[in-house]
Amino acid sequence: MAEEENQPDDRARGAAVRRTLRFGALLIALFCVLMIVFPVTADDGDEVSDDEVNEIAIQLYCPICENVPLDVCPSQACADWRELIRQMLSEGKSEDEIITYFTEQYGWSVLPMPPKVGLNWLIYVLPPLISIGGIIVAVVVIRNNRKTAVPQRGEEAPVQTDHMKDYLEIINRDLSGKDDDA
Amino acid sequence: MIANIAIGTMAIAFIACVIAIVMAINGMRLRTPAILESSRLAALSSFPLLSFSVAALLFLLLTNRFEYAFVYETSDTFMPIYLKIAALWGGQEGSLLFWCWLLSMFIFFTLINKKEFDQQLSPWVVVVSSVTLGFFILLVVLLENPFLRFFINMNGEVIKSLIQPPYALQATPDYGMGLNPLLNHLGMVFHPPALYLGFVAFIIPFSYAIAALITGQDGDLWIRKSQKWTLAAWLFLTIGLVLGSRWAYDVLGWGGYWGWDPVEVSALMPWLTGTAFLHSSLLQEKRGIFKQWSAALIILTFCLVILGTFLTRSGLLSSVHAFSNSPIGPYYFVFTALMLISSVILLGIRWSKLKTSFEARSYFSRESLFVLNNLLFLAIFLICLIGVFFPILSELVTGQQINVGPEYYKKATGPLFALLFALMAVVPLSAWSASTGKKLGKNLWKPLVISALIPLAALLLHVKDIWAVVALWVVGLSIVVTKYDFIRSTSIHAKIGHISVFKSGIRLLLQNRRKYGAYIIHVGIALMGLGVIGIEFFQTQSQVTLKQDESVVFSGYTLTYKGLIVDDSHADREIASSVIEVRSSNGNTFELHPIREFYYSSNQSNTIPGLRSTPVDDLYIILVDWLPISSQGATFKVYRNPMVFWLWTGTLVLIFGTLLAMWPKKKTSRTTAQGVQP
Repeated sequence: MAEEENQPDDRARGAAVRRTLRFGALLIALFCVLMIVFPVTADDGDEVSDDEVNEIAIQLYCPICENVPLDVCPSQACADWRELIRQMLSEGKSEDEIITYFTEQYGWSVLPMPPKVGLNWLIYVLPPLISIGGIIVAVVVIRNNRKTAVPQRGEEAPVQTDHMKDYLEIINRDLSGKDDDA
Repeated sequence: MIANIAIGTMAIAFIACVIAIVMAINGMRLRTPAILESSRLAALSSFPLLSFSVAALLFLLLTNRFEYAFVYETSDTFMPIYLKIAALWGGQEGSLLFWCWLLSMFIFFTLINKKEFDQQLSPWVVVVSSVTLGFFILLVVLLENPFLRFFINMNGEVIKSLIQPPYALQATPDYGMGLNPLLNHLGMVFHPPALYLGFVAFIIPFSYAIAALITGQDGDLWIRKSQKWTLAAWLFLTIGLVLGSRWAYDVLGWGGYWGWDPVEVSALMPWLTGTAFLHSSLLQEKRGIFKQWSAALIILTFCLVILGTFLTRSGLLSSVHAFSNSPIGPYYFVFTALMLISSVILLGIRWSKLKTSFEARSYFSRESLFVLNNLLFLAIFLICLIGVFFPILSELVTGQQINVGPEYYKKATGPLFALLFALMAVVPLSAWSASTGKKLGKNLWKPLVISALIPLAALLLHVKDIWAVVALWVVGLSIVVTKYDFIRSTSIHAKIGHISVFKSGIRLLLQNRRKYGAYIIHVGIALMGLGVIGIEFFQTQSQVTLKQDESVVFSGYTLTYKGLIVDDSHADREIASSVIEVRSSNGNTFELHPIREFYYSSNQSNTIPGLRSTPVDDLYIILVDWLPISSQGATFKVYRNPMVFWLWTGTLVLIFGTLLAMWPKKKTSRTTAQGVQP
C-alpha cells in the first residue's frame, strides 16, 4: 500500500526530470543552431584584424614555398598558419612569442634573416666591412696614383671650371662631334 | 621528320664550332688568311643552322605535337599563339636551345662584316665564342634535348627517347600540361628574351677582352671593337630586369616589383659589374687608364652571366624563376669554374702589362670619382654575392636552412646606392685631373640650392623619415645637375650662336650623342630611383573584407565593393572579376577590376591586380586568393605605391638615352666649322 502511495510521487519526479532533460536538450540544440547561424565572434573591440595578422606574417617566410613571405603566400598551409597567428593574437600572445613559436616549430627557415648566432654573424658583419673596405681601397688607389702620376693621353683636355672661356671650349668640342666624357 | 633534321642541324652547328676553333688556331699559327676566313665562315654557319632547330621547335609547339615531351610539358591546345611561341623558353630544354641561338646570332653579327675581321683579335674572338657556343650546343644535344618523344614500352612504362626503342610504341597525349599560370602573361613574351639577349651579348666584349689578353694588346682596340655590343648587352639586361619587375608587379600580387629572390639577385650581379665595366671602359678609351679594371670587370661580368644561368638551371637555388633539378648542373659548374680560372690566370699573366696610373691631383678629380664609382658597384656586387651564397654555405656547415631576405639587401646596399646617386650628381661637374674640392663646390652650389627645394617640400608634406628625405634630395640633385649642365651649355651656345635655345639643345644632343646620351641615361636612372624611393619608404597597405556595396577608406581613397562577374566561357580557366568603385579625395571616381583566374589543369589560381597608375601614386588592389569570394563579399589587399610610375617612365628615358649613345657617328661632321667663338 505504501508502495502504491509512493508511486504518484515517483512518477511526478520522473516527469520533472524528463522535463528538465528535455529543456536541457532543447537549450543545447538551440546553442548548436546559434553556433552554426552566428559563428563565434569575439567582441568587436577584441577582434584581430587582417592587418594585425599580416603585420606578423610579413616577418615570417612560408616554410614550404621558399622565398615567399607568409603574408602573401597563396598556399593552403600558409592560410592555416595565418589563422594560427590570428588565434594566437586573440589569445593575447605577443609578436615575439608568435615568431618564437614558428621558429621552434619550423626552424630558422621561417625567418627572413637568420638569428645573430655563430656563423650567421658573418651576414651582419660582412656588408659594413665590404663597404668600408671599398672606400679604403678607393682612397689607397687614388693616393697611389697621386704619388706616381704621369702625363696621360687626353692631357690636352682642358680643366673644366666655371669660367666662360673653358665652358665654350667644352661646347665647341661637343659640337665638333668628338666624344668627350659622360 | 622535322625534329630529326633539327637534331641534325644542332649536331652540325656543334661541328661547325669545332671547325671554327681548329681553323682559327691553325690560321693564326700558319698566318694564312684563307684558313682564318674558313674559321670565320664556320663560325657564321652556326646561326642559320641553329635558326632551323629553333624554327622546328616552334613549329612543333604551334602545331600541338604533344608526342614531343617538351611540347607536352610547356604547351597546351588552349594557349594563345603568343604564349605557344613563348613556351620555347618556358622550359629548360627549349630555353637552352634559345640561348644557343641568341649566342650564335651575336657571333654572326659580330663576324659578318669581313672588313672588320682583323687578323689579331678576331680569330681569338672566334675561338672564345665558339668554345662557349659549342659547350651549350653539346648540353642541348646530349642532356637537355627538346626533341625527345614519348614512347610506351612493353611494361606499359612511358619513356622519353630520341629514337623509337625496340618493342615500344609512340605515345601521343591528347593535350599538353601548359605553362604555369604565373607565366601566362605578356611579360613571358618579352622578359626572358630581353634578359637572355643582355646575358648573351656580353660574350662579345668578353671574347674581345680574352683575345686582347692572349695577344698581349694593351691598347683600347678591343674596347672600341666591342663597345656597341657592350652597350647593347647592358641595355637588354636593363630592359630584361625592368620587364621582370613589371611582370612581378602585375602578376605575383604582393604589391611590389622586386623581391630580392636569389635568382633575381643573380641577374642583377652581372648588371652591377657590367655597369662598372661600362664606366671603366670609357676611361680606358678616353684616357688610356683603368686597363686592369676593364679586363677584370668584363671577365667577372661574363662569368657571372654563366654563374647566374648555372644557379637558375642547376636546381641549386629554389625560386619562382628557377628550372627544376637538371643533370646539367655538374657540367655547368665545371665549365663556369674552368672559364673563371683560365681567365683569371690569363689576366694574372698580363696584369703588370696592363698597369696604368692616372694623375689624380685631388680626390675630387673625375678619375678619382670614377675609382670610387667602380668600387661602389663592386661593393654592392659582393654584398649580393654573399646574400645569394650564404644560405647555401650555412646549410652545408650547420645543416640549418636559412633565408637572407630583402631586409639584408636593402640595409646593406641602400646607403651604397645613395652614394652612387650622389656621385652621379657630382661627376658631370668635376674635371679631369685637377678638379679640387673648392672648384667642385663652386660648380655644385647652385644645383645644390635648387635641389634643396625637394627635401624642403618633403618636410612640408610631413615626411618624417630622415632617410627618405636624404634619398629624395640625392636623387633630385642628380636630376638637377644633369639638367643644369645641359641647360647651361644650351643657353650659352644659343646666346653666342644667335640661335634658339631649342635648336641649340638639339644640336648639342646630336653632335655629342655619347655624352648627352649618357646624361639622359643618368636622368632615367634617377627617375627610376624616385620610383624605388616611393615604394620603399612610402608604400601603405591594408587587407579588408567587404560586403557588397560596403565601403572602406584607405589612404585618401574610398573603395566600394560593387560585385563580382564570373566568366567560365574559357576552356582552360575560370575568371572571377570583381568590381571596385574608387573615389579619390579630389572627387574623381573610377572603377578597378581585380581578377582571380583559376586554372583547371594545374588547380592553381592567379591574381591580377586592379591598378590605377598616376605620376603621384599607384592604387593597386588584389583579390586575396586564399579566401572565398562571391558577389556577396570578398577580401582585398590594397596598396598605395607612391611615385612607382617613375620607375617605368625612367626606364623609357634610359632606353632613349642608350639608343642615342649607341647611334653610329657620321664620319664627317658638318658642325665642326660652326663652332662657337668666345
